[in-house]
Amino acid sequence: MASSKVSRRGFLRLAAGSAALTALAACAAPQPAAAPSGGEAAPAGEGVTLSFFNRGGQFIEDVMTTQMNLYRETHPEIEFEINAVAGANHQEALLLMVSSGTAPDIWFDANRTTGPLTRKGLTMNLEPFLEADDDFNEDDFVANVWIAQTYDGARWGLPWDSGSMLIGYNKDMFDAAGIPHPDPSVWITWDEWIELGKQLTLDLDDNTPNDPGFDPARVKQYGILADTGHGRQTYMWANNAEIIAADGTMPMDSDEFIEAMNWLADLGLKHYVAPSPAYQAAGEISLQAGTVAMNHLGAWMIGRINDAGINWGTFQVPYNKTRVSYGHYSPLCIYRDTEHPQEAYDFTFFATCSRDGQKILVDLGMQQPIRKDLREDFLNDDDLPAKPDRQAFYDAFENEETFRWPGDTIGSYFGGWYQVLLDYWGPYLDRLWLGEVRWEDVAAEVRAGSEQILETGEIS
Amino acid sequence: MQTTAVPGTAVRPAPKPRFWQRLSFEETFWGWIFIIPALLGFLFFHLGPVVASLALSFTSYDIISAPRWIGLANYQKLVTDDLWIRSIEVTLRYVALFVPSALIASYAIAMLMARNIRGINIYRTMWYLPSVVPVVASAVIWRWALHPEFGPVNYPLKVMGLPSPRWLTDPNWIIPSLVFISLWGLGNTVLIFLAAIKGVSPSLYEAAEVDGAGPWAKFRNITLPMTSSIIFFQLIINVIGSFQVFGVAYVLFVTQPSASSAGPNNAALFYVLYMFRNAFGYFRNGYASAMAWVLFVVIMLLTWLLFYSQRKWVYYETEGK
Amino acid sequence: MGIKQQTQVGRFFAYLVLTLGGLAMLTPFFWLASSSLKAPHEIYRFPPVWIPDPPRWENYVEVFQYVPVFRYLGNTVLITVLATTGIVFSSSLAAYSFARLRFRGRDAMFAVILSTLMLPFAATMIPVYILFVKLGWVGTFAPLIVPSWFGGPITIFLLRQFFRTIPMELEDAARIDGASRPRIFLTIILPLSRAALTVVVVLSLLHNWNDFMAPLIYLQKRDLYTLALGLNALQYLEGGRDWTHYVMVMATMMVTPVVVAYFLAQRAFVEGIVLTGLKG
Repeated sequence: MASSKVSRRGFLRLAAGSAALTALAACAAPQPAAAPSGGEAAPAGEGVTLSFFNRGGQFIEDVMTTQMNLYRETHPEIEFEINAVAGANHQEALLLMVSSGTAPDIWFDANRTTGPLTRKGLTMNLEPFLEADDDFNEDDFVANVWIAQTYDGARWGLPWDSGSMLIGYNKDMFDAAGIPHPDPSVWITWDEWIELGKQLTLDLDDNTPNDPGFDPARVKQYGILADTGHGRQTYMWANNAEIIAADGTMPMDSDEFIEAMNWLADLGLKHYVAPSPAYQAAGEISLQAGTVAMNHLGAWMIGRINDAGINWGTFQVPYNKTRVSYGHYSPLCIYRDTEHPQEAYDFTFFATCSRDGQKILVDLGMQQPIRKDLREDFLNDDDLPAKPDRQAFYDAFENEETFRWPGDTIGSYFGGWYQVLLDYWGPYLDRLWLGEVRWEDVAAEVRAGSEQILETGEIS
Repeated sequence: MQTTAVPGTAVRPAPKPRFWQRLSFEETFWGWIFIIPALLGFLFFHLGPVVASLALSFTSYDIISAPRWIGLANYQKLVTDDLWIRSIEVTLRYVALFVPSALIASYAIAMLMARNIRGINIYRTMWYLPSVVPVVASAVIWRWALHPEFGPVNYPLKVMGLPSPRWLTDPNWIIPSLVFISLWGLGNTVLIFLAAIKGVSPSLYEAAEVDGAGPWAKFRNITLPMTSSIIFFQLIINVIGSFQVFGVAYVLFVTQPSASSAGPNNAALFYVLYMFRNAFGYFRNGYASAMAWVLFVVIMLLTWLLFYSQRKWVYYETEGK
Repeated sequence: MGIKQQTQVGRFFAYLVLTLGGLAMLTPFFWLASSSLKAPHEIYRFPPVWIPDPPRWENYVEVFQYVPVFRYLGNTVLITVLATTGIVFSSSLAAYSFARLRFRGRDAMFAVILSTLMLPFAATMIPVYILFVKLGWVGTFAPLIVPSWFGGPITIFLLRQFFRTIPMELEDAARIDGASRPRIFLTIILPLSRAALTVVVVLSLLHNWNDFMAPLIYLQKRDLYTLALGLNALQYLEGGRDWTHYVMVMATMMVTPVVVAYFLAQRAFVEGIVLTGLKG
């Protein structure tokens, strides 16, 4: 009987407790928690609500909100609804929305995924809009900024953030090693780069790879971080290798390609100037972490490096046979079946291409401006890197002789299958970096699989 | 009187029938009433989607356009898919390593926790702490902890001159690393075993002591059987769960830009991870559904086998069916 | 006496394992907490920095600027409390039925409910999402709360196993007195299962507190975010700043209430089942 009293009391306590907590929580969250989805539906007839899907986390959303608020000053009839998903889960969330018929009107995409989504028919072709737009003048813009959104010769998104890729170097580390700062406009060769790298790689006893006691497993500072992700293609072209040839094949087993891939792996395996998974796994190797002297990076890292207080500059990506530069932007895309195409386009254009919209991005260090008239703003920015180093970012894009992009031979960025190709290459690359294979061992296989992806979009 | 041997009852002499066993209507009535919420939940939230996913497995569905019927093509393709075979390999390795170690380790720790040593509350909380850390943060932690040079795992190993593998980049060590990480979070299992062990009536132990039983005999003849129903639960849940392991590998390998997609040589390509990639990365949702259903059948068969084995070793208080 | 020595050795051994293991368990957590006081580029320094100098206490203040912690806390508490209440209620009912009551189709029903665990969640993600869209629940808390009121297979299974260890004699006695099933359930089974129910509460609490996959898909509006989602959103991506240190802060803060709850809940299952004068 005592036990039954306890249980009744217990139940009552539980009920009272949850009621109290619920009331408390309801106060803390003033918006009606059970409100049906839809947010502010515009009054029938007037005004349009555009839904925006954000994959970039808090910071990106704040930037987007700033742009939206500015836009609404001149377009008060437009309402915005933001759905934010951060992290790599954005692809699933986006697809779930599409599958259920609740796709967003606009979303911030990644340059890796725009291709596959376009190939699947999710994005809207923006060429007709751009043509009809009087405010759009091709000459206002830096050349080549559209590449990562270009498929079959048309644009399927408009560039929103990022920029070109250069080598960022830590000036203090150069000073400590007694090496003069490189000139941002000078192109050095691979051999020269390795030489520099060797002087700038230090193990825990301050030995460099040139010293006899050097231990590659106990390195505290690396000379080089060659970007083996977005920047990888730069090294291929620099060696006269080709990723996608004009006839749609992928000569990943050519001698030049093999040489370049092996060279990349050897940076870590043989010369010890770059981190290699064979010797080290976790921990951040980056310019901003202060663990590498020369880091192949993109303009989107500027904010982060400055936050870390690094004293840095830039120079062009070293070459072997041909000088090459590269950069890309991640876009805003519009849903093909949106109910408000024109309004969606107008806002997207504002956020990406208009002077006012873009200025917000540039001031926050998110974007290397695609508009020529914002160039001075970018170059004269008080933050590091210094003006000549910032000029190098522009030179990378504007130099028609050196600028290359993967798929430029066929007019489609990576043929439209970048993400799929990346997933396919992953395991092979891991073995290469680990030193288990050399590229010639897997080249033919990788080529066959990649060409199949290019043709069908299917792995195996 | 028992008619057939019923799963779930250990071998005991047939009990005397109680008089209310004739009130089968009342039992049936309440039996169904009590399971109504669960039943409704199943019908409403599961049945439809489950049938839908089965149907999808016979289609080609890229999510963006409508599904297209292709019959058994997905299943046929599976058999020739090297990555699928690989994912089975990887998952089986994980299951074989994880399930026994998880059960034994958590039970052993629960035994320790069950003692009334001074300060035991603190110890229990210390041991429970890891399972409380959100998955995202734990990925960051483990990438640091398993650093081959300075991580707190390898550093002492190196100092002692023992082999210190490259946990996250050596294909042979990835699965053990993931098992290790999963074991770190076994606080919940310990909790469940603790509740079970504590629930064993002290009078049983007293009676055994009177008979002169030592600690090992008490353990073997009282603790283990009396908690065997919970051990069984944990076994089933761990088997079902480890076949579908996903979260840890996902945050460790997929969501970091600088890490490889599924480990060197796909050493961490778990079944559900590969399935997930197919569904949302490669736009092959029909294919992914086929994968899911194959896994379902395998798990179901295995679980059925385990349930069948219950009668050999699991002890229940309930008599009758 | 031999037994006394055995006990002493046993106790020493127990203390040793508990302490060493406990420290091993704590180390990563300690690093987490210490990283919450660092600047982002310091977190991955090698050799690792254990006590940051100077410790950035301002991280804990700054994170509130970027993350509406109290709102997310309110959301998380709401969801957790409602979902946990629901699952205890619905699962214990079903578990009792499966454990004690005999009726035709019982084992089949149990198998069916258990089988829902065997299909990977990703397989039904899209159909379930579409279902919730059709119900109009996407963008609300409903998908995270309502299903709990309709049973959870794992908790049903767990409670069934526990209920089956309760001696039949207790129920027999009550039946002789003429008690109805619901009365037996409320007055005998539940009180004796305090330990198991506490376990279920703790498990559900933890799950709802830390889960981010379901909230990520269904909540969709920043106002409705839970703490776990707020944590997830702090991860940096290309184009953003590096906020790993705030991730650490959020994680440290999120862990604290659960640990406190666990510490307090321990008493419940330490006491275990109380038998009132019946011989086994």
